[in-house]
Amino acid sequence: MAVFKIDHAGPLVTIQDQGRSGFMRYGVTPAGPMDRLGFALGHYALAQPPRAAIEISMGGLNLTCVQGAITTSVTGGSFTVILDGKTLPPWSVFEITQGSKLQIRPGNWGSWCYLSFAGALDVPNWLNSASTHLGSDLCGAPLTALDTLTINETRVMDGISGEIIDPTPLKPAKIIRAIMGPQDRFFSAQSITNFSSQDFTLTTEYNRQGVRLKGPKLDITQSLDMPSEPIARGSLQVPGHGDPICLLADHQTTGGYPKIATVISADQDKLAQMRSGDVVRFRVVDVETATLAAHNAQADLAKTHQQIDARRQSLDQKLWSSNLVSGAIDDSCDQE
Amino acid sequence: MTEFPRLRPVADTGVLLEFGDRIDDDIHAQVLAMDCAVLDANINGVTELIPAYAALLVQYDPLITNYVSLCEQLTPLLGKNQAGPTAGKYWKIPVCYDTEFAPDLAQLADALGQSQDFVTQTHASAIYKVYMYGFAPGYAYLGGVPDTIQHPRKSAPTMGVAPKSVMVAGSQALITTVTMPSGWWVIGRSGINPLQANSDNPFMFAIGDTVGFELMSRADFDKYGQG
Repeated sequence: MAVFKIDHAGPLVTIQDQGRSGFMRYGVTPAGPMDRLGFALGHYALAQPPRAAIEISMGGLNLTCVQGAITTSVTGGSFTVILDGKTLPPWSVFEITQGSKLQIRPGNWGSWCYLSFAGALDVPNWLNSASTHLGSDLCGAPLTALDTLTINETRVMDGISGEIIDPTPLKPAKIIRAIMGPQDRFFSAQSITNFSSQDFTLTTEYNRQGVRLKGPKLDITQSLDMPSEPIARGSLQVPGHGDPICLLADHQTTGGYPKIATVISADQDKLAQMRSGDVVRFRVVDVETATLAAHNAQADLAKTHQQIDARRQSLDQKLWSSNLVSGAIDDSCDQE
Repeated sequence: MTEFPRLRPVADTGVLLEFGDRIDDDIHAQVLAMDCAVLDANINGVTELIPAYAALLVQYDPLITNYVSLCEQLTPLLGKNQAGPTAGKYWKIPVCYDTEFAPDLAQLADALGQSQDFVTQTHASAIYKVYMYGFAPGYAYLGGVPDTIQHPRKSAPTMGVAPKSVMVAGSQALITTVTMPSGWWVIGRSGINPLQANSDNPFMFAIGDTVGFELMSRADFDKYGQG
C-alpha cells in the first residue's frame, strides 16, 4: 500500500479512468480523460490496463508520499515534473517512496496531464467508472489540499524508470478536422465559409465540459426552436452569442443549440490539449476521411507502443550491463 | 431538404437519426420504436443509443464499423413498422407543495394570474410522459404541463436547486435528482428521488413511461419523504 497527501491541487484536478459509457441515455455525461491518448499511454508505460489516474489541470499538483513506495508515470501534455527538487523529463516513469515530494506544473505545452500509478487507487466508483462526476457529488469531487489518496496492490518496477518518450510529436498543430453538421442548415452561407476559412482562438471559458472559441460570429438564420437533442463529444455548438463551443469530456448529454460541425475523433485529444489563446483553423473533411484518420491514429498508437517498448528495453539493457559490470567486479573479488 | 427520417453523420463516431423538428407524440413514438429496434438488432460496433424528443443518436466505434455500413444496417429498421417498446409503466409520485419547498410558486402564480392552489392542483392533476433524459443524471423531461400553467423559464438560473425539487418550464416538468443550477420554476418537493444512485437499477423511469403526481402533506413528507 502507498499513501499520498495532496499539498496543493489547482482547480479541476480530478480522478479519471476511461469514463462511464452506456448511460448517456439517462443523462449521465461520459466523463473520462480530456486527452484519452495521453491517459492510455501512461498506463501502457506501466504495463497495465487503463485504470483510475489523476488528471492534472494547468492549476498543477503537489503531493507527498507519506507511506510506502510505488512506480508512477506522467504523460499527457508536456508538463514540468519535479521530484524532490529534481526536474524529470515531461513523460517519465519514476518511483516515489515515503517522504518524496512531487510537483507538477504546466510546461511547454498542453492543458492536461496524467499521474498514473502501478497499483489500484482506492477511490469511489459509480456506474462502472471512477471518473469524478463534477458538480453532483455522485462520484467523488475534485482533489484539494489535505486530501489523502491510498493506492493498493502497489508495484515497484525495477529497471523502467526514465523518460517514456519525447512527447513533442504529439504537440497539437493548428489544423483541426471537423465534419459539417448535423445542424449546419441553421447557419448563413457566409458563416459556413468563415467556419473553415478563418482562425478561431480558444478563450479562457474552458473547462472539462467544453471550450468557447472566438472568431468571426457564426450567424444563425433560423429561429432557435429545435427540440433538445443528443450531443456527442467534439460537437461545435453555437448558442445565441455566435461563438462556437467545442464540447469535451464532461459535455451534457442533450442540448437545444444547433451544432455547425463536429471535431473528428482523431483530433479531439489535440484540441483538448490546446490552451486558452491558442489558434485553430478548422478543416472540413468527409466521414470517410475521418474514419481513415481514426484508423491511422490507431496505427500511430501501435508505433508509439513500439517506441515505448524499445526505450524500456534500452533501459533494461543499461541496467543489465551495469549488473554485469558489478558482477564482474564481484567475480574478480572472489578470485582473490 | 430531404424528408424525415434522415440520417446525418456526427463526426466519425455517430449517426443522428432525425424524425422531425418539433416536440410531437407521433415523432417521439418513432424515436422510441427505432431505439428499440436498434437495441434488438445488436449491431456490431454500436456503443450507445441516446433518444431525445425527435432524434436518436447512434454512437459507434469507428475502428469496428463505419458510417456507410451502419447506415445500411439502420435504414431497413426504419422501414419496418416497429411496434416499439411495450406499454410503459405508470408512476404515481407524491409531491409536497409546502412553501418551504416551493420558492418560485408565488412568482409563477402571479405571472400566470392564477392562485397558488390553482397552479399546484393543476400540476398535480395532469398526466405526464417521460420523453427523454438530459442535463444531469436521472433528469427525466416530463411533457404534459397543462396550458393554463405553462410559462417560459426564468430569465436567469438559480444556483443550487435541491434534489427532488419538482419544477416546471413551458410544457415540461422535471424532478431534480442532484443539486444543480436551474432556470425552471420550483413549485414543490418529491417524496421520492427518481435517481437511486447506489441501487442496481439507478434510473427509476424508462423513456415512454407515464407519471402522475399526488399531493403529500408536509407532515407526511417529514415522515416518509426523506428518502
